[in-house]
Amino acid sequence: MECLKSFSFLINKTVNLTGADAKTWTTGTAQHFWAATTGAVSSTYNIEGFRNINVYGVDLVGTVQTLATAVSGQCIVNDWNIELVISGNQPLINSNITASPNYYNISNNSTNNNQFALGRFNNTLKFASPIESVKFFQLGTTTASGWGYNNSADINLFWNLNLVIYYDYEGD
Amino acid sequence: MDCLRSFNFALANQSNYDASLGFKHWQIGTAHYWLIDQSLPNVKYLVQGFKNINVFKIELSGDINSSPAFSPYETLVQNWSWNLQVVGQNSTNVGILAPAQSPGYMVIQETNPFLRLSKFQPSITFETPIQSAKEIIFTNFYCDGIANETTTSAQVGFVINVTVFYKYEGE
Repeated sequence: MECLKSFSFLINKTVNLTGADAKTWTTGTAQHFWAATTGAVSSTYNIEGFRNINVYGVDLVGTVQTLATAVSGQCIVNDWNIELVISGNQPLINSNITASPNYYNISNNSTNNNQFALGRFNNTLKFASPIESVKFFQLGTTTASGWGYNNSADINLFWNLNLVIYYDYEGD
Repeated sequence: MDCLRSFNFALANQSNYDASLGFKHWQIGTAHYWLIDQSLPNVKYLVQGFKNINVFKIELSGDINSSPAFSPYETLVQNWSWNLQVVGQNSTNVGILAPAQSPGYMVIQETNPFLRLSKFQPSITFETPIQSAKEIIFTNFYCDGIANETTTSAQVGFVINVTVFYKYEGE
């Protein structure tokens, strides 16, 4: 990683998830739990400029939390993850997947392999062979869960995150 | 690690695990606890091509979680793990176990038939690689947590990306 460059951008969003996107339940008195999803939403960071970049790693640093200033929906966020698509040329080896059983849907095709999930407990990606000629980073569905919801009808989430990209220019 | 190459592949699935798939529920008062301990199936990634690879590191990224879409089988996941079997030649051990294995409380085995990668320890690294790796097998999915709404099953889903760090044999 010594010769790499990096850049970063901020993810800064708050929303109150409701209806089918926010499930709350109890297993008894004072046992409040919740699971929430943003569904199929996305934000895309496009790479521009004369030179292509090769991506060697990604760090997602920060928190998905709840806002004290939200009108309602405060909760304790126990776990969260965000889907990330890195659109570029994936490093591959000559390989195959045993067709059956393939219970976990292992895939080595590039369309599926460029999907990652970064979260509270797994917030970093590192590659020895880079993803080459990366065109964009697309942040997709966020899934979160926890306990202690204040209101059973909505869940307030606040994304307070930095995404750091480690790269070099093609040909360097 | 500077001269290594890497490739990656993805696992993506969601299932509603009941007792036939290793689901176990218990409760203390109104507090619900659960685990999934699934011995099968073995899922295989087969390495092919002219040159063998030596594996120096394997890293999982991603998470396992529940979703509102799984209602009423949603739950909170606290931990998860897989057994990975890298079929190849393990590094030569520099020691042996005492023949009598007494005390043998931890049931140590001289080779590493399985690498156990988990939510909080998703990576394993070797200075001496597993040589001529032919297969990477996923088996024995384990997952546990709290607060399952339904006591007979729990539904979880995941996107896990596996990065394998390697060299070609002879390099």
